[in-house]
Amino acid sequence: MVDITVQIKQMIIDELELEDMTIDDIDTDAPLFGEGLGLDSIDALELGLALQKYFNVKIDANSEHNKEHFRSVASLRDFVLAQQQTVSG
Amino acid sequence: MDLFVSQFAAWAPGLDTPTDWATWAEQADVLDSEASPPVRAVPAMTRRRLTRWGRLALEVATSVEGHLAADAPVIFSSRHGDTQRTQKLLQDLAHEEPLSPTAFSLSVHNAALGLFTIIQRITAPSLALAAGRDTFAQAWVEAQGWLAEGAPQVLLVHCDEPLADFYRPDADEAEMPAALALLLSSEPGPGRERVSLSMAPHSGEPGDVSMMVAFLVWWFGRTPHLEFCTERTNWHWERELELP
Repeated sequence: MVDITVQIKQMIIDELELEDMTIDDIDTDAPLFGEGLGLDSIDALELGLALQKYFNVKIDANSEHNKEHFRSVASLRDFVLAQQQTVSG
Repeated sequence: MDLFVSQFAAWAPGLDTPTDWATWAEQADVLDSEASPPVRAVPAMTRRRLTRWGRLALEVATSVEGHLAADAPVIFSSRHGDTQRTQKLLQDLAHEEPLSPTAFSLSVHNAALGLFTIIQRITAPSLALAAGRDTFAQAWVEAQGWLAEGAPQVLLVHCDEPLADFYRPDADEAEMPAALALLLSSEPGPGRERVSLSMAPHSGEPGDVSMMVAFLVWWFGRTPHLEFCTERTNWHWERELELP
């Protein structure tokens, strides 16, 4: 299985134009929103779109679980892998 | 009505000092460059979302902001706004691609003004306007109105850049990436330059360059008068030059 952690970090940097950051600056387990990376609600929307574009993952806008999925790079990775498994399996 | 300019800031690619500007004003070249201002006064998490158009506006606005009274209205003007962003969004729509939420949220004419007032916690009235080739002069008239109503100061910010590629063939005047900010007051004071603007019905042919370029040439060229003619109006700026 390919580790997509690095791809997700690069996606975050590119799509959110965090021009001064590198993938090493993003802690896989740190919160993305509020504290940690300090992203905001517009970033959340932008990330939702990016996940669709990069990994063909659809986000259900009304899902209660989104908050958990978007907590950190690690949770995004688990979410993407689970979604891909659902699609391919 | 006489206005008094207490602060003046301008940005254009490669023109960093008053001497650079004065030299530029002699030739009055319409600069073409992809360069973008650094906007160091804007926090990085906000700065990342700015296109060059937004950077232009915020660069000059933040450089005079320290002198701004808390109740001073802020007027932002730009003839075309952020055409790079507009073009990208419309192309995405045409290709049935999803729109970037960030780009969409910053696609309005007052986007840069909104960010500026958020960053500086400004609660005074603010207004963004466009009025074709007359834009900068109409923004000046708006500032006069606020001052006549008793505002102690008005911050006037104007920026424009060449149109995005798709619109470029329709350009009716030469534009360069630049911005200027003026802190205007109705009262004289030490170091304040007296400037007046008057208007008359249009008579001559409109010139080739934008009003912003003409104004910057005039301002840094240290001549007393500026005549600028659009298809609607003849604008006339006049100032009292300090004796050398």
